[in-house]
Amino acid sequence: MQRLASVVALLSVIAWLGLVMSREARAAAPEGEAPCPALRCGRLIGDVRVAGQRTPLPDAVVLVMAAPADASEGRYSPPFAEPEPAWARSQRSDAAGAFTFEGLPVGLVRVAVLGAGFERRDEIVRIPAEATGQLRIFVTPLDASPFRTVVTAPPVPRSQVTEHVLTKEEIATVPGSQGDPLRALQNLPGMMRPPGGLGLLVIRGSPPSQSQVFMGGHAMPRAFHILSLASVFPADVLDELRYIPGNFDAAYGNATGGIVVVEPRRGRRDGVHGFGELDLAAASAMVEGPLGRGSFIVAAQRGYVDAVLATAAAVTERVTEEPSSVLLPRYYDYQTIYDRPLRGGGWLSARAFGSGDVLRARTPPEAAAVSAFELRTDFHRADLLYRKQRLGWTTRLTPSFRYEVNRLVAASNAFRRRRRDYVGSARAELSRAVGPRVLLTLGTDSQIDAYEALDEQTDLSRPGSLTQDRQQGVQTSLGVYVSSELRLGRLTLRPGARVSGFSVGDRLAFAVDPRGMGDLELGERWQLSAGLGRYSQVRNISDRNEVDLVDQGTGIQGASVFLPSAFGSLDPAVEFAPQDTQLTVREALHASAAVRYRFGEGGSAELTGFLNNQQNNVPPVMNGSNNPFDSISRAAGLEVLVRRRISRKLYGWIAYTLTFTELILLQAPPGFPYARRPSDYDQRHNLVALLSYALPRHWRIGGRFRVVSGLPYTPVVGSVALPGGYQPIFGPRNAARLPASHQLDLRIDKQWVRDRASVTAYVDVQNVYNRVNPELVLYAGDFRSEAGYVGLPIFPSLGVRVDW
Amino acid sequence: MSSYRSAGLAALVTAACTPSIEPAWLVSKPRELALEVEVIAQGPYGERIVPGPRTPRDALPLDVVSMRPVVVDPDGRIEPDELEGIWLLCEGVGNCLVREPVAGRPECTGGELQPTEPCRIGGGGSAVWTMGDLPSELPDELPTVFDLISGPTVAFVGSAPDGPGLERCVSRLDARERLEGCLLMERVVGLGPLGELVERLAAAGIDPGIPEGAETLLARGRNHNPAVTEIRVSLAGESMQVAVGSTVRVPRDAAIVLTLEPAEEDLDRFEILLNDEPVELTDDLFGQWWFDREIDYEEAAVGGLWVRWRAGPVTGTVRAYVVLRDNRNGEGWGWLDLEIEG
Repeated sequence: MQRLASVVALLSVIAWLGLVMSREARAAAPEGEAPCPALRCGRLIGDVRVAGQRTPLPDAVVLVMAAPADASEGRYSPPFAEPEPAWARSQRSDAAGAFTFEGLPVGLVRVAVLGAGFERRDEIVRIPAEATGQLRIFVTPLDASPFRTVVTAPPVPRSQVTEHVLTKEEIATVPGSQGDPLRALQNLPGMMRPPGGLGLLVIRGSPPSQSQVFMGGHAMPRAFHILSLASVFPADVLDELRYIPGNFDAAYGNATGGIVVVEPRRGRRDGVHGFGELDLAAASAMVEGPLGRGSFIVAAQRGYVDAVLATAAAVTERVTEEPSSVLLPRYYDYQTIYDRPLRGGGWLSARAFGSGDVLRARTPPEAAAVSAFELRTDFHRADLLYRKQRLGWTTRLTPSFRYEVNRLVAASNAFRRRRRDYVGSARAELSRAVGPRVLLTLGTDSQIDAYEALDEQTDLSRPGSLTQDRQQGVQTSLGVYVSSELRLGRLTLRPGARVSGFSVGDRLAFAVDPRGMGDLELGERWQLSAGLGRYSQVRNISDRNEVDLVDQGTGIQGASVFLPSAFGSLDPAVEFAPQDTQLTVREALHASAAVRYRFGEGGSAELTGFLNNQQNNVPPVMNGSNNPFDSISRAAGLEVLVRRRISRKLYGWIAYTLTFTELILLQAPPGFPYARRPSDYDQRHNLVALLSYALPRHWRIGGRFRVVSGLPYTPVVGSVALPGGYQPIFGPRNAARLPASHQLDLRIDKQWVRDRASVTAYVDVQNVYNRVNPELVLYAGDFRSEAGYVGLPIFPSLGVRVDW
Repeated sequence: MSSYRSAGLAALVTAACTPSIEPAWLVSKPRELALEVEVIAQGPYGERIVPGPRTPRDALPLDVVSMRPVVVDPDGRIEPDELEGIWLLCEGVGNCLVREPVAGRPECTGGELQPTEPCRIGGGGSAVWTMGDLPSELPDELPTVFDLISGPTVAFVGSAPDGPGLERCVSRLDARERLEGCLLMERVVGLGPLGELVERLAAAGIDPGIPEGAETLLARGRNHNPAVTEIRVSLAGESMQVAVGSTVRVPRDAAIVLTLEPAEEDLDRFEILLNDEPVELTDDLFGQWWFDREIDYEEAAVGGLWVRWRAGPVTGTVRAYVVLRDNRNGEGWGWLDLEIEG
């Protein structure tokens, strides 16, 4: 039935196009042929706009013709096989979408607008005598998309062996990601499927803390809100995400895993636009538009999972008549961006953005004195970016200031910790082509972090007592880098190097990281790439307070629940004053090679092999001694990506990652059973197949199928019977592995385009066939038998968005 | 934070499809219920033990202690003589079996009240051990007499009759491999009475480290194991005391309440002066219940001296086991058969 309707609609459009062409030919006739009696003529001016976007539509065919006899003012739906009108005139809208018709007969006329890729629109309008009628007419795109690409500054050329880019449209429509930019990346090769399907960036087996997200050239203090519920920036303030799983450019430092590079986009200048969005977890809104010679974007997001959970807990309490303890996460983030061109070809961008998270315990009053706590973490950042291209030089300067505060209040205010950071950072970069074959980039990035930490503790047994420990200091980092590109025919070499220095108080650490990459073109479609380099990251020596949500061995409903260690990365934590006496740097060797085939119609297939061999340099417990837990982390594997945009309406890819990651203790005595073990993130196989298709009538449907190996976990092999309970006996760390899991996620979007706005509703259903994909292990209450696994059930997420 | 962790995980477990879990109270395989520890011969210290209805649990240095595990399976108690096992003496519950390898542990010399490293005190299904003499000084890691009395711990590693055998159980334990069919338990031996120990330490010139306000505990006598001799069975408004080891017929659909009613001897009463007023203190008692059939628990308070249950679809006889513990390491146990009518 739907296909028949489509065919009829298509035939109708073809018929009307024929009519249009004939009317256009007629419109070329002299003005005197217009059926307009003297003194009974009027004029019609107007413009054609894209419905939902309100942007001008140039080059649309505008027809004015005699109105049908029984027509009235307003929107008109022409019947099939209607008689040819008595007269008709036409013209095309100009660059601003405007049109003007002179000498029209007074009274009702019919206006029709046709544009390639748009639905036809007919209106009956009244032409006043010796006056001007005005009409703004909106036409609806046949496959409207709210994801409009705004041309921004070209990305800074960087060296890498493998880079994956997601467009805003892909981010918003990838099933299972709920429009979250960083979670959308989890569908690409090299990215592990994190525990619980939540938002973590585990790249090529590296812990999330060893990878970095750079926004506007500066590392983000956090990529995700608390509990990894959402990214700290929405997809709408950027045009695309760049993800480099390893062997990245010397411009980026202090990371031994992979990086994600985010460049905020410029605001639109074709009018004031925006959106408001509401889903089960958060509400967000954005406004953008022209401002002077430039443009602006203001966006904000507020998560209200806390309200949902608090309501659920209150209902539970009423039903069960028992007090309920629950953790309430709340978050917000905001972004403001102003861009403007400068005289002489430069651009200036000013950006302010920030994020805040609160994790609060809702406890029964009687338990509050012991277990109540509140953890808050906020940051606010202001960036300037000056960019200019002149006389072959490209200059990029980005000073930045960040204020960050972490607070922890526990046990009815008896225990309080706070840390404030005032962070100034800057990046300066110069690029220039030196002759026809060489491009040279020199740059430096630096950060000075003045922190103050305060610990306060009240002795509950001595009211009024208060002990305070106040610390302040400075942490710095400085990087100087050079990267270059040498084009030698089919071979392009990209040598580079980075020198980094880190300090915390009087503790210093340095790293020298040479890096090199190269591409070899083998004909028009084949390319070989390879890279080898050293990557360093200073080890964090700050004291951490973890909420310890995911510690192992919690008794639930007569069973004991055990989680894979990878869950630990989801644990909310805040950092306070530095503690360790030594500052050391992790040193990783990245090696990778890729072979790439480009499809003729866009898209590519690529196979990449990688190795990340990392010396963890765990600082000694005492000066001069070895740390028995010093270790090497090693990851090796293969990545395959076949990605095509088959048509304008259909995109998809297949991504497969094979990873072996392990941790090797360097000082373990011979025969020590834990000397070599799988790392917490050793997800051996990860296959993602993804497809998204834009259907007629503004429907879009997409599906993602994912098969992944289970995560390693530390098994419980038995227990010791104690009075009143059992003490679990753990096997070797990560000696067991959860079974493989697979799931299908579906997403359906429906857009309703109105003249001045469009409404999009979506449902994103995870785990459609409700498979029990093991996330954690259940043991019997005595730990003597493994009772099975627990996985997340089918989970639908709903959302609605209004774009204007 | 564990309550939040529990809440979060409980929500997940509730929301997700969870597999059926064998309850820890079900005696479907060999289970270690208790360890019968009793002083069978007195050393030179302390007042002479007067024979009574309860076996003495607190031991003083050089007392001789007997240890017999209470292991049951669906056929009833497995006599200790049927078990293969080894016995270790160590310091502190949780430190005997999981911190250090068990194989190759040396024999205890007999001089140690509590060894710094676990050592073997015997093999087989039961053990008899003479406690070491008083130390010449309190070690740094046990600076007070309270640390001393909570320290000496015995551990039993064994194999159930149908299990993999003692040697395999030990090697699997040390290799951290699955321990199906192996028996593992630890218990604090229980040194006391406290006052006697303090007196002996002081006499030897050792500061026992009694904090202010704790002197009242010095009046406490030697602890005895509580005993389970009778269980009250209540159903449909009727109730009766039943001797352990008996069989009681109960209707299928009735909610049955089993209750332990401790005897006076189980409470080890003693009197102290608090603000110059005499106050009587007793041991705290806790119960733990097991059943050999999967019945419907209606309610069971953790540590409660009673349990309410219903037979549900189970037919035949349900055996209920109960262990009564005090807060000074004393343990006693008993069982009752409940024949389901209809």
